[in-house]
Amino acid sequence: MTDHHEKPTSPIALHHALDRIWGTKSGWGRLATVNHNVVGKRFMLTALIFFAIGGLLAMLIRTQLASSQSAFMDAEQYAQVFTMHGSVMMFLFAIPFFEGLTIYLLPKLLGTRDLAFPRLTAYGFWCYLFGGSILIIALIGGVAPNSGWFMYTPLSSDIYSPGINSDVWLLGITFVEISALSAAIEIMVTILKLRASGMSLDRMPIFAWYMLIVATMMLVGFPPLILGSILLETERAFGLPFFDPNRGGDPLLWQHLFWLFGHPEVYIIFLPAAGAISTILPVFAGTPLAGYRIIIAALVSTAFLSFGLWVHHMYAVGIPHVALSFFSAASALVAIPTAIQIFAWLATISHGRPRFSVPMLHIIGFFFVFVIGGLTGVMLAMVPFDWQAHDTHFVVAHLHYVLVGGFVFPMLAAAYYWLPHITGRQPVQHLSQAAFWMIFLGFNITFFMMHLTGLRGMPRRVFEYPPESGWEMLNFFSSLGSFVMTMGFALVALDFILLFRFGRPFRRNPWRAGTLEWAMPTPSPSYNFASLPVIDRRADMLDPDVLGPQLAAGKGLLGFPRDGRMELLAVDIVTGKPEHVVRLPRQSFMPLWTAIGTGFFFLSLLFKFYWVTPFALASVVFMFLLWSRDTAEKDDLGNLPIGNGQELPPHIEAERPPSWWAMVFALVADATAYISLLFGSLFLWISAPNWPPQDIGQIGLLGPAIAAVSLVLAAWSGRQASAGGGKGAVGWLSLTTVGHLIATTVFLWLALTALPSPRSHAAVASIFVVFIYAAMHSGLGAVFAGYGIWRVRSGFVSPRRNLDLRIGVLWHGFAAMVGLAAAGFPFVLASLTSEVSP
Amino acid sequence: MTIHPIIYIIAGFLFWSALFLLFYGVQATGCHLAGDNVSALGEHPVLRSVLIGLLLLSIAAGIGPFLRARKRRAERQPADDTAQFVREVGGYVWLAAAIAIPFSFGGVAWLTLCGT
Repeated sequence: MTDHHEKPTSPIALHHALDRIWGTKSGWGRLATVNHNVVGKRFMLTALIFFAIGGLLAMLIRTQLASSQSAFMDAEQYAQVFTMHGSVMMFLFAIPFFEGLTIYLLPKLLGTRDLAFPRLTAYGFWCYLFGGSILIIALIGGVAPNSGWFMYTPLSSDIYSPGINSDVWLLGITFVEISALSAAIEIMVTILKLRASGMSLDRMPIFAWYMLIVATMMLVGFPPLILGSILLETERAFGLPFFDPNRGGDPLLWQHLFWLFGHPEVYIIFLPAAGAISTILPVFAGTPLAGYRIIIAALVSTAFLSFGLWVHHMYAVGIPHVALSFFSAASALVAIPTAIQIFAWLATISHGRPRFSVPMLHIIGFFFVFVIGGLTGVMLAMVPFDWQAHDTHFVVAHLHYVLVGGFVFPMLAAAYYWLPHITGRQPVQHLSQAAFWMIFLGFNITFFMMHLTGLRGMPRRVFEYPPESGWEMLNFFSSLGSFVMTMGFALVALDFILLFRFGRPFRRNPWRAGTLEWAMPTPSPSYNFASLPVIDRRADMLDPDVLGPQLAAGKGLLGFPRDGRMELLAVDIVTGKPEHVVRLPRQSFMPLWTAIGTGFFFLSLLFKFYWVTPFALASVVFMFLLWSRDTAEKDDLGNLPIGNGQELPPHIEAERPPSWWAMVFALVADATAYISLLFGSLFLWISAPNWPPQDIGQIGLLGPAIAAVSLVLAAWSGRQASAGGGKGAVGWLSLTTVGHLIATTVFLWLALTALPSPRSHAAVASIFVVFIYAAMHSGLGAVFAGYGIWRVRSGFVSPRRNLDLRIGVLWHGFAAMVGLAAAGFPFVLASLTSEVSP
Repeated sequence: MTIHPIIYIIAGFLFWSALFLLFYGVQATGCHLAGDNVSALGEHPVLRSVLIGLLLLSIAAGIGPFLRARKRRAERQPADDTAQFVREVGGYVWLAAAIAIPFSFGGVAWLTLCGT
C-alpha cells in the first residue's frame, strides 16, 4: 500500500495532486481543516479582532481620565474596563497574534509542509476562540473580571469579589492557555524535528531560534499561572485557603505564581517580535544579520534571566534586602542580552545599504520607543526608585513603551513585510506612512505624559482624581494622543483593506529575501513546497528565485503524493540529516468537537454545575483517544522512498519521532506545575502567618507505601510491555493498569478520609491537592495502559510499531515520580511543621 | 557520556538557575529557621557564612569549567561547523553566566539578610 506513489508528470499535475490531499474542503469542511496556513491566518485575524476590542476599552479608559472627576464611568465599570483591557491585550492579542504568525510562517521558513501536530494546532485555535469569547461575553453581560489583569488576592478572592467576575478570568484564561501550551509543544517539536534536510542547528533561520526559545519559555512559564489559577479557583469555589492568611495561606503565593509567569511573559511577547526584526532588517539592509551566533547566546541568556526577576514586580511587599538584590541584579543583567541584539541590528544596518521601506519605518519606530522603555525598565529594576514609582502611572508608561515598542511596531513591520506573502499582492502604500506617523506621534504623546503624571504621584487604576492634583492637563494631552494613535491604527486597517483589494500582484520574492518562505508561489499553496528542499548553507542566505522553481518541479524530496497521506520529513535534531517520514493524520472535525467538550468542562466549573464536570472531562479524554484512530497501521511499512534514491522508515517505526518528543515536553510542563505546587506549599510554611496548623492529620505509612509500590510496579511493567515489542504486552499492561488503579484508589481514599477538612488550613489543603494531583496522574496512567492493551489487541503494535507503548512508558514513569513525591509529601510537611518551625 | 549539543548550549544558565534557587531557598529557609532570634542577633553570622561560602564555591564552579573548556578548545579543533557553532555559542552562554554569578549573588556579603 505504501509503495503507491506516482510521480506526476508536470509541476501543475503535482500541484493538483498535493492540493487534493492538503487543501481545505469547502462548506462545513472548513471547520475540519487543520492546515497551518488556514489556522495561522485564523489565529491572526481573531487576535486582531481582540486587539480592536482591547483598543476600544483603552479609548474608554482615556476618555474617563481626560478630565478630573469624570462622570463617564463609575468605579465598577472602570474596574471591569481596565481589567479587560489588560487581559485582552496580554492574553488574547499579543501572544496569540505571534502564535498565529509562527503557525503560518514557521513551516515555510524551515522548509517543511506543516507543523508537527496539525490537529493540535486546530484544537488550540478553538480553545483560544472559545476561551476568549467567554471573556468578551462576560464583558457584554456586565460581569467581566474586575480585579486587575493580574488578579491579586485577596481582592480577587470570594470575600471581596463574590460574583463570577474573577471566575470568568481564572477559567477563561486557563482555557485560552491550553492553546498557548499546545502551541509551545508544537513549535518546539517542529523546530527540532521537522526542518529541511541539511538544516543543522547552525543553519537554522534566526526566527526559528527565537521561536524555539520562546516556546520553551512558554512551556515552563505558563504552568505556574495555570496552577495558581486552579488553586485560586479551588479557594473561591471550595474554600481551600491557599491565599487566606487567617488559615495559613498567603496572598503573596499568588503574586509569586503569577509573576513567575508574568515577567517571562514580557519576553515571550517581545522575542517573537525581535525574531521578526532579525529576519526583516537584514533584507532591507541588504546584508546578512551581524552576530548570528552571539544573538543566539543572548537569547538563551535572556530566557533564563527572565525567569529570575519576577520579584521585581513585588519590591514593595516586604522581602528581605538580600533577596531583593538577587532579583534586582537579574533585572539589570537582562538589559545586556537585549542590548546585544540592538547593537547587532545597528551593526547590520551599518554594514549594508538600507532601504527605508514601510516595514523599515516601523523598525525605526521600534528602536526609538523600545529603547526608552528599556531604560525606564532599568530605572524600575533599581529597588529605591521602584519604591517611589511603584503602582504609579510611571509604571503604566514603562510597560506600554516596552510592549508597544517591543511588540506593536515590530508586528506592523512584520505585517507589511509578510502580507504580500499572504495575499500575493504588494501594498500601494499611499496611507502606510501617514498611518505610521499618526501611531508613532500619538503613542508618544499618550504615554510620555504618563511618565510625568506617575512621577507626580498619580496612582494606577484610579477612576477619578481631584482637580487640584495638577494631573489634569497632562492627562488631557495623554487622551488626545491616544485618539490620534487610534486614528493611525484605523488608517492601517484601511491600508490593509486596500492592499487586499487593489494591491499589485507580483511573481516571487518582492523584497529580495534569502529565506525559504519566498521559495514558493504566493499566496502559498496548502502544502507549501511541492517537494522539500535540501539545504547546504545558512537558511537566510538562500536564493528563493532559483530554489522555488526547482522545488515546484518536484526536484527536492517527497515530491510526490503517496496513499493520499500528508507526508513530511523528520530530521536529526543536531545535524539536520533526514531520519524518517512523518505521515500526518487526515483532516478531521475532532479538534473542534474536543474543544467544544473542553468548553463544556470549563463552563460547568464557571456556572458551578459540578455534576457535569466529570462527564465533560471524561468526554474530552474519550475524544482525544478517538484522535488516535487515524494514526494506526496494521502492518509494518518498512522503508519508504523519499526521492533522489533515498529511503526512510515511517515515524511509527522510528525510535524518537515527533510524538515521543511532544510527550517529553508535555511532561516538562506538567513537572513544572507539580514542582510549583510542592514549592508553593513550602513557601507557605516559610512565609505564611498562622503556621503550624493545629491539626495536619495522621496518615499512616501503609497507604502511601501501597501507592508507591503500586506505581513503581506499574512503571516497571509498562517498560516491560514496551521492551517486548508487543509480545506478552497485554499481560504486562494489565499489570500496569492494576498498579495505577490501586494507586488512584489509595490517593483518593487518603485525600477524602485520612485528612482533616482541607478548608481548615492551607497545609491540609496542600496535601489534599498533592494527593488529588497524584490520583489524576495514576488514573490517566490506567487510561494509557488500557489504551495500549486495545492497540495491541487490534494489531496496531509490533516490535517495529511500538510507539504507543513507548509513549506510555514515559507517562507511567512520570506518574510514578509524581506518586512517590505525593506519598512522601505529608511526612515532609508534618516533620517541618512540628520539628523545625520556630 | 557526551552532552547533547542543546544542553551544552544552555548549560551555563542552567547552572545559574540552579544557583538562583539554591541561594533564594537557603536565604529564605535560614531566615525562617532563625525566627525571631534573627532580628535580635542583627547580622546572622552562620547564615551569612553559609551564603558567602556558597558564593565562593559558585564563582569557582563558574570559572573552572570555562577555563578548562577554553584550554580544550585551544588543543582540539571541532569536527565540523555544527560542532564549532555549538562550542562557540555554549562558550558565550557559560561566560555570561559565570559573570552573572557574582553580580547576582554578591549581595550576600553585605546586605541585610532577613530584614525588610
